[in-house]
Amino acid sequence: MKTLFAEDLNVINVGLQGFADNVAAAGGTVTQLSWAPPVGANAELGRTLAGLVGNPMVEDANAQAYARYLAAQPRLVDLVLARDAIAGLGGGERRILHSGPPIGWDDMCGPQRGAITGAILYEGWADSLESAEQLAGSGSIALDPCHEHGAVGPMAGIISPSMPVWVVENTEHGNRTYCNLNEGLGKVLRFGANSPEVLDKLRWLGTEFFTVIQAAVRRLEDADLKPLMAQALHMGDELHNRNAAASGLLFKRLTLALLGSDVDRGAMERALRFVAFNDHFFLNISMAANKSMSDAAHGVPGSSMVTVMSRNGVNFGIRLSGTGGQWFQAPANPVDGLYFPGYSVEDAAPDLGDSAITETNGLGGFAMAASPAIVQFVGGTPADATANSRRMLSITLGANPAFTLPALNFGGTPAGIDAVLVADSGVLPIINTGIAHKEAGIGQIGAGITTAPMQCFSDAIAALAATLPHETGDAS
Amino acid sequence: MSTTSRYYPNLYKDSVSLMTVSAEIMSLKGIEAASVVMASATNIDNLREAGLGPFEVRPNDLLVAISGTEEACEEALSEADDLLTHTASAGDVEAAAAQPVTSIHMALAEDPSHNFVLVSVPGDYAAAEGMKALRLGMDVMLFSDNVTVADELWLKEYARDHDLMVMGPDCGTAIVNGVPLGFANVVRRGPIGVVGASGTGTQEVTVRVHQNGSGISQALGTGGRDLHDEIGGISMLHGLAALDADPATSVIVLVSKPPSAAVAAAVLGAAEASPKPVVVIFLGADPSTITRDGVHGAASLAQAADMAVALAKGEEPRSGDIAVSNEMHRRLTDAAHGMAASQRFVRGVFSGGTFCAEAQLVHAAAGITAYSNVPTTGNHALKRITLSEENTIIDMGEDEFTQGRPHPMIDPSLRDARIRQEAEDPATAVVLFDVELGYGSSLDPVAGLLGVIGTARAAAKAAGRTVVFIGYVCGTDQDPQSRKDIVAALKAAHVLVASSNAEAAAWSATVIAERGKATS
Amino acid sequence: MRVNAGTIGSVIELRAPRIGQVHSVFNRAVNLKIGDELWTVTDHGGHDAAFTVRLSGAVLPGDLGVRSHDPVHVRSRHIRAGAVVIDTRTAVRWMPRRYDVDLSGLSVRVAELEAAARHVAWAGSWPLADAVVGALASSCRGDLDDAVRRTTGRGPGLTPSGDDVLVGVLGVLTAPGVSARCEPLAARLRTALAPALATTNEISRALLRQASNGQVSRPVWELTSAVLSGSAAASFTQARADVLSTGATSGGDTCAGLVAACQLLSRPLEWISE
Repeated sequence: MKTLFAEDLNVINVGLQGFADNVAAAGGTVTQLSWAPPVGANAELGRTLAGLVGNPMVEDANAQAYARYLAAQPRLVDLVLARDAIAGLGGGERRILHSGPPIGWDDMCGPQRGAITGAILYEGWADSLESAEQLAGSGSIALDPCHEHGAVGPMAGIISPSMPVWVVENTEHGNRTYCNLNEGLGKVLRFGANSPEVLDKLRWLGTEFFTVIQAAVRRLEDADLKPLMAQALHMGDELHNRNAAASGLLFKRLTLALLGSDVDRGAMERALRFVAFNDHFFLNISMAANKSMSDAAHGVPGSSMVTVMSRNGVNFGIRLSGTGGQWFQAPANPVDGLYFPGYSVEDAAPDLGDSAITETNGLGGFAMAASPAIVQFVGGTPADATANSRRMLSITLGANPAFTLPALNFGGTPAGIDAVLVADSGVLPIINTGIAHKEAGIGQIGAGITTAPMQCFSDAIAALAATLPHETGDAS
Repeated sequence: MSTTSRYYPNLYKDSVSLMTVSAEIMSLKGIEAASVVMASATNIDNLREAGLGPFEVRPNDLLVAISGTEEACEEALSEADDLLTHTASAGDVEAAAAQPVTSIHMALAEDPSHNFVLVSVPGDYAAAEGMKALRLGMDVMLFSDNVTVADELWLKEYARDHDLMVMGPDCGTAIVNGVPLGFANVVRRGPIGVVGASGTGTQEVTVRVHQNGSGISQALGTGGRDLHDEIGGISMLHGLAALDADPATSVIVLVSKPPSAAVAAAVLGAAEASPKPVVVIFLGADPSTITRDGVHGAASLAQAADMAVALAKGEEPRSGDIAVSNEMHRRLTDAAHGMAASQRFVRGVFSGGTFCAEAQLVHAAAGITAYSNVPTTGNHALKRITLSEENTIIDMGEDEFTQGRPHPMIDPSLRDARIRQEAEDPATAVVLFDVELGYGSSLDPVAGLLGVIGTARAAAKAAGRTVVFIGYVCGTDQDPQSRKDIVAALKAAHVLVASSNAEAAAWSATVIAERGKATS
Repeated sequence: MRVNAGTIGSVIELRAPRIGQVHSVFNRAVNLKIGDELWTVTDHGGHDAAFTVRLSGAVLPGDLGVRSHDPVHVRSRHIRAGAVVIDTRTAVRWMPRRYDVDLSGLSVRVAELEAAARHVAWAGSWPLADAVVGALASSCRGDLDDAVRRTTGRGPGLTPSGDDVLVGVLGVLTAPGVSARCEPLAARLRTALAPALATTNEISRALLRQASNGQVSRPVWELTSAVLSGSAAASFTQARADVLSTGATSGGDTCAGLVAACQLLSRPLEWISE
């Protein structure tokens, strides 16, 4: 017997408001959709999308990917030089990693080119800015996305062989991820600065600082990152643009580890001082931890779960669990934000960095409800923050019970972005982001909220659909 | 004359909103033409053919294209801007307070007790929305038309495999669990279930069942193309099976134009196998070819309803031709005798497609052929749809009359104008029309018409002619409109108001036959 | 209110549209009557079974705000019960773990289990278990009908002790690997059970039906497999502890049935016949 006949009619009205009004006037129950044609009003792709909604193969794949994501247990296991951790940086070929999807030198934005130039000098592959730039443009240095080597980097996201990288291991599945060290604020490589001061600091980070902190990491009593991050979320961090609490918690652990070591006292003091005064120190570890969780979810055939969101200052790129190494790129959306005095939208570089890996995992903009302070900074109200987190629930597979948000009644943060839901609902993943000056080396000029572009998700679901076995009777 | 345009990226408005805006700016002085459309490929083509464009737009942009005097264009653009963006920002304020529900999945995830989806978006997108509804476990009604056969089959095969029903595409009428959907009437619940491939056909049957004191358990639509060979009656068969299994249904009525032989065989076979009595009205088919064990063929929509009511009471259903009472016959022939020699023809101006078809069939059965924009077998196609020839019976709800305009059931002004035109024609003996009540239809469907009838009647009289107006009001006393008042007003205007569409056509045929004798 | 489920039962189907009612509400479990099936929504620490929905996070089913007779709608892997929506999209389906039967050392394990369960079970469970198993062994239909009638719905507990005994017996008779020889016995027990089901409450009745079909809860499955497969001592101990800690006497009663049924396995083969 039709279940429908035994229930009260409860209508979803897709289209003319008048129909919904009439159902209500006749005493029926109805929900009116605020509908617009999905996926850029491309009717053909719309049909493909319809075949993915409620698709058991995709749903089962997503449940599997999501379970792996939930089960991941990232642990900070080491700090080593990049060449000793990342295969692509350890061989004979010269290679530098950058943030975002693949892009050639000629197309890169100012900050990223400035940072690569700086890295070439740092490595000693050239001895002047001009020759470094020439080398970069010559093609003799491989320029690859960090993500393609199991790594992530904020802003320009530059990792070169002699830079120290955090090593985070997902103890549940064994996969490892890497991220560089946070240089602090002001003129830094990640904003494209490459002056002698910047390089000097990099050299100190790569030698003395590296030695001290490596010793600390190797002696950490408590290196599990999820509990630390969960605690930070209850202390006002969202672990992308606000990391002060997590950085403080990490500082405690590092200090305790160093107290029992025989590291040089002066070096230890300089290192700890550096960490103590850098409220974003934890960001890079957060990014590596996040990548390790979403890497665990990656590679499930048929899954529409987003495992990478990333930008290179020109394009925004995503990857899905079920479409392997394929990137889906589109020009980054504008950032809606506040600018520091003297700067405006004309000065802004497009969205840049791998730090959207935090949003990919339900932190950052998705956990905005945890961080009223950041909301003010990006020009909103605490009510906006909670609303934003709630809205993200409509495009995620679930809520991560390990990361709870007090403002959502300790509900889990929205996690597991489903590209099908994004394409179908028109609700775009929201990202809290810093805004860099478009010229290399000037630094951060503001902060705000941006969204991932729909085009990425349209292309991604088209590609995912193509991987699925054809159902009989498909219109296409 | 100058032309100007503006586009709004990624701004979506539904067809009613678009028409409202374009009507607003069309009404400005100095405006020649105005188009407010979503920039789909079809719409851009149409604009290009009208000499407008080219435009650098994408399908999810909203395009305003205006031609007229220069000042008028400026004013119109600004007016359109106000109308389009003002409502958008008001919506945003609300949206900030409560998350807008933008997809079927979102609505279902918020409340899994949603069990039905009603789709009325443009045809390009309707099938995809329908498929999502099915995949999420809900039955669908597709009011939208311009859905391809391939898409309809795609939907209905999936539905069949998952024990769900697709009502449509192009399904305008349904009553599910007592709730009227689309263009539907308020009728009491009862033991008669209807599965119909026609909107007004379903309306006529449900209304007549109610007026006979019985009621409707479910009235399920199948869309107009369901019984074509390519689709094979998938929805009708599902509806029949669902009503077979429904404890609240004791008699089933199937309504359609005659299907192909193969589909008819499948449907009638299923009807025969049904444990419940089934009344079948395939409009235009000989009922005796339908009647078989447990299956009763009807000759008209009203008769189908009467037969179902009888069967529900456990009585024998009566069949046969529509009877015109002796008294009515006398009135009609008297009226025919009182006409001028030039008056020979019927002019049927219909809003309901099935009523138009039934009227043609009733006249044909009386030996009276006619012209139409949708001629039934044996009738002829009008050369120009705006000019009647001899006997003409037209459906003003068809696409050729409704481009960029609301359907006559919603806005009868074009129908009223056509009726005036027919009444002024010296060749017209009878003006025949239908009035649909119920949800979706105009709340004041005869206001303009009464004026037209009054004026036309007076003008004809002055010219020595008497025109007979025959009408049928399809509705119940529970509908939002006041059926009683509407019938009374029509009668006060000396319209002969019949009790069914078939009866109205029979009355008209009586007059025309009489005129045929008088003028031969 | 929205909650997520992390795990769903082995048989439960959540895609096709279903309707029903809330049957009963407890602190750690809410039962839903869906057609002929009884579904149980448990907290994260609860036990998986055939028709369970185990929530993720810390929320307790008793705190969801649902009440008996609230309407329940199931559609596309979402459940609405009263005003609560349970999202099961990312729930993983528990499937009973496959294992190979190895009856060597069975009597030792059975003895250990009996010793552990002796003072947990209701005292009356042991004779009931023996009577049912004895009747199965005797292949006398009347004896079995009597024994089952005296056992069903008998004894203390939300699930009466007698019912738990029968679950324990059925768990063994339907276990994969022994069901080939025990299926005739299971069939006889099902037949005897059918008319007796009406004498117990709806929740227990549902569990008995599931057990008849070889669908027992995860702890019972794990314990049965530990006993029948000679698995490592640690998992046997853990499984035993999990079952014995269920309810007040419920787990112990199930063990009484399990222990008794194992006697059937240690008898010579030719005895076990139609």
